[in-house]
Amino acid sequence: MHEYEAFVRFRKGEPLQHVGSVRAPDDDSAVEAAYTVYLRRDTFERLWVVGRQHILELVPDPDADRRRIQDTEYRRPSFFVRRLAGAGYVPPRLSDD
Amino acid sequence: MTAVVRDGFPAIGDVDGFVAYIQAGGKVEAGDWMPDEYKKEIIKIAGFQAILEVVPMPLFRKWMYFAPTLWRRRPLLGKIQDEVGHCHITARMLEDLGKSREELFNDYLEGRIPLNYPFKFPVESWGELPAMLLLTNSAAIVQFRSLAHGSYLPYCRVMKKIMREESFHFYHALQLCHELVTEGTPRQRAQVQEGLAKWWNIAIYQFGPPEGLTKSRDWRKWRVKVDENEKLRQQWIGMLLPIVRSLGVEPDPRLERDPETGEWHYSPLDWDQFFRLIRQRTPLEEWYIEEFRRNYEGDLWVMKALKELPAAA
Amino acid sequence: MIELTVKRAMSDPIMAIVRAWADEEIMFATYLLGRSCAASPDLEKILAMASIGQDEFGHAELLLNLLVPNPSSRRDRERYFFERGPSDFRICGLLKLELLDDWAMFVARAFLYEEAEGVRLRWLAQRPQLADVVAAMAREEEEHRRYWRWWISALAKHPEARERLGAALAHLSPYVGDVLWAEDGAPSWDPLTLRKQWADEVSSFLLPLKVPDVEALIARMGEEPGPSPEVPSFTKFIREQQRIYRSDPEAVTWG
Repeated sequence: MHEYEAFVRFRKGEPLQHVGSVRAPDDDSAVEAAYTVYLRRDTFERLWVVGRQHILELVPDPDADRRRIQDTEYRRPSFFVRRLAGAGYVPPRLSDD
Repeated sequence: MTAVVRDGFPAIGDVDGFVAYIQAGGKVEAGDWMPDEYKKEIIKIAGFQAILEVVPMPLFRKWMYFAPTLWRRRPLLGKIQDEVGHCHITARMLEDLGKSREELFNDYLEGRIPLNYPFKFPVESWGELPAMLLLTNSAAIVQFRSLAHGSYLPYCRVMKKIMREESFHFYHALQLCHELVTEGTPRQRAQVQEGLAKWWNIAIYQFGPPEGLTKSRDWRKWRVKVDENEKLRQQWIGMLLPIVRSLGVEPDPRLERDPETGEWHYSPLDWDQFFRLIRQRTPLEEWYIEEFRRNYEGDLWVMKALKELPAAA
Repeated sequence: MIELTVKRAMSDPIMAIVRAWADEEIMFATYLLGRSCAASPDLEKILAMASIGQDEFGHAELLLNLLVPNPSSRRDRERYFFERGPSDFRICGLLKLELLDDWAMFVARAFLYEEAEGVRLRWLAQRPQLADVVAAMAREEEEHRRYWRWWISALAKHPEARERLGAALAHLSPYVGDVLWAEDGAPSWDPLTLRKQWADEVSSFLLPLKVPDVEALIARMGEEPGPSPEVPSFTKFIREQQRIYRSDPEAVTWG
């Protein structure tokens, strides 16, 4: 038996999202199982099923003293908007369309 | 991904049906069947955009070495990372459509993909740099915002991601302009203000000619691009004019808004000159292409070495 | 933003080490910036370098805060960089070379420098005045070292690339003489011991990879420090960077 992770795009235009995992003896059973468990009541655009051994993972270490220098505030619009505000200039909002 | 035929989606091979679907506002997802013409349209638009993100890097290197401010190297390097990132996600989308990044880069080197119009013109002073960035970046934002509503959904997602980072570039350029104009010496202020006047008249052409002057009408058929050039130019003028004015520049004495239609009237643009310039390569463009070729070729042995690495156990 | 208490009680010899450290970080960051502007189909590599470069500029800023009279004054930090002449920069020969054109050269130098950084950081971590700064940098520097080590081992797996790497390391060999050399360094800063550590760590990583002709380099790395050959382009490089700033002495800000 193997673990498989399932990803679904429910509606056109949305990204694929992780919905959970299933255990199955082989690939075909895994697709069937994922569909049964996660999608019986939903309409969906597409389903991906991937064996867990094929997934490469990176997890940040929560115990590490991971203080990023000055965060990355200099990369945020708010950093420059605040500087402008400090100089008495109110910039326009870019519409977030 | 397997090609999928969903309810309401045209059958594989039904090009007329596909066009009708698109015209009715239909969207295309990754993995959907598409006519070759449609794929070519995406590749043309996205390829042009991917190239403009990565080719002008030497300009930034030059200005960062000359930059009379050490701390700004960091946000500018952040901007470079973003631009290369934009090229990367667009290139990945194109790779999913069967167009490799090597093919894309060769298209540029062999003259099949032009460089975005503003990159024909040099930046000649430190104060001119933020003026150029502010005006050309904002023009790109207006264009990307429109592309985010196109018919090809993977490209819409690329655009949305790009837009989130472009706002940092916009405010950064604006703040630098503002600081030099308000706290700078008369010479520094003049560099920014002259830069804004100069680059207004370049960026305004970035949107391309109005309908009627261009031959290609296919974009309306495929709706990867959804808005007319003039509409986007109008949006940009409305957005940038108050900013440019607040920095002490009147970019065009004939700029005025029609009280009834809300449309901006401005000094006539010289599209003949534009078409002539499009067909030439300026010295700066020659420089870009040579730098690109030199760096690309210089790295080919690395790509070869990576491709031939034994796979991980 | 990490608020670091500036320790004014730092001794002059340690200041000398921090001065060299700051200058070297700025220079290395600048080369990363330059190399990030070089097109390659390997876009992922450009993205990684731009990220490392931003880290290094961040480190440099932290260090400059320790060196300038008023650390909250951006102007002070800028003046520190732009108003010194090229010969006032404390930079080892390895970092005076720009080396933007060839990836083997760039990686070889980055690897050697970041390994020396590791040795330097470990020594500085023992100085109470610098513990905060070192802790802030250590995690990123570890990631950087891992990145350059990955490149060295990747290139070493391929025959042609391995040759190029060997040639690059040989080319850099004359310039390693003044790495980890603080002329007026603290009494406990023993360049020879530190350089031997550097040589040991590099050789234990490099030798199993069968990169050709590195013995001479490693021997040199573990020797007493001495001056590096002149790098004439470096003076010009600094002057070019400072030209615009110096062109208008009246300016209060350059943005």
